[in-house]
Amino acid sequence: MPARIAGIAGYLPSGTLTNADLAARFPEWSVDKIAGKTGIDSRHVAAPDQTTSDLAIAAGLTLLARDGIDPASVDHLIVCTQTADYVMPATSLLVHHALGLRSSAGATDITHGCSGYVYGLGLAAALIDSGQASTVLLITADTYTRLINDADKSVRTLFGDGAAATLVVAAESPGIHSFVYGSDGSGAESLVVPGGGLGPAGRFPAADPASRGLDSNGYDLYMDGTAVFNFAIRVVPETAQAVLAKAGWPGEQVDSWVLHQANAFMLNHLRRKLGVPADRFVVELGDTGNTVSSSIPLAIEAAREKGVAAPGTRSVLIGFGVGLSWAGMAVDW
Amino acid sequence: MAVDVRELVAEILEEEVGSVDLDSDLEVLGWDSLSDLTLISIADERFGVTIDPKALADAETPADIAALLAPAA
Repeated sequence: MPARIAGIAGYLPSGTLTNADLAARFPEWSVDKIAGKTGIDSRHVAAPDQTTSDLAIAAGLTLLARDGIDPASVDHLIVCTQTADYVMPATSLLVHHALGLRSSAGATDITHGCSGYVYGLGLAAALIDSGQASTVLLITADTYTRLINDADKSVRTLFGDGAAATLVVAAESPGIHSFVYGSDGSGAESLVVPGGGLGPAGRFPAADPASRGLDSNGYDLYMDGTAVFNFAIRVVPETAQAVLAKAGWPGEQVDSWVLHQANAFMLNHLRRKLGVPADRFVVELGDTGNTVSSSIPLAIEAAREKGVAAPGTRSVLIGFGVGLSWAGMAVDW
Repeated sequence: MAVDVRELVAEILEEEVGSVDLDSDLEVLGWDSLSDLTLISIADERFGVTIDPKALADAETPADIAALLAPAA
């Protein structure tokens, strides 16, 4: 059967990192200049005793309670995160248990970043379309701030922690469809956490914390902003055209475009390149920063009062980032 | 299309064009990672040129920027 999105709920930890906080930490930093470019005023930060599964569980419980969903109705849980609580077991197992899902429900982790929401929805739709599930809970959650070196202001300005839960259910007509995917591991060095894994140190020389003048925190997330920007400029328009062609939609019939909320500067460039009017293009990251795979569902929720995701409307969603990985899809709400 | 790189660099840095020479030190002028992104955006949008990030990282002067924009000249 086809699938549709039945509900989305976000969770943001209560701690914040504001531009004023960053300006106090980095006196040479120009708050107005950076905020003007990124569109980010503040980010949420998980408390020291909060982990990714805590955020995921909070988002899941919020969705289940708000929409009156019986946990026993969930056939499969997909958790998308790059900041797993443990190397093993999978975070989805911890979340599955805490949400009280039935033991015959599947639990799967996927480890994509900014493309992860679309990948997760694609897998959820496939589980339903193949008859393996009727109801899939997709939870995106990350505590990226843990991966960032305290002294690296270039990425501290961008990323925030957060989670979102999305319920995908079987439907009479396709609500989520026209998925397209892309992968290019040759760009892995553009956005990478060089520490904390089992791979050899030094595989990605540009990301080496010592060469960046950093005292390592064990992770030291590295981003080559120019390479990622070039990547986005290249793949997002191609992906948009591929989704429109697959859906059979003229671009002007799309009511809202929701791209991964990387930063406002990049989003506004992509909007102009796509030729989309500003009132049909969602930019919602001022209070959250870039929340990785949760950025699209959190932006949808933030923009609902503007009519985004209203019944009968159409959206195109596009995620892109670490991997390099990208994906796009169409939504009939 | 001829690109006046001094004007372009001044525009990106929000400085007077008189403060920019072809052999000025970009770092001294205040060029930073945001300037890189602004240049990539302008090069793509205005000139249809893709800037090579590695070459951009090595650029030290407006003349070097001009070389990156050569396909637009």
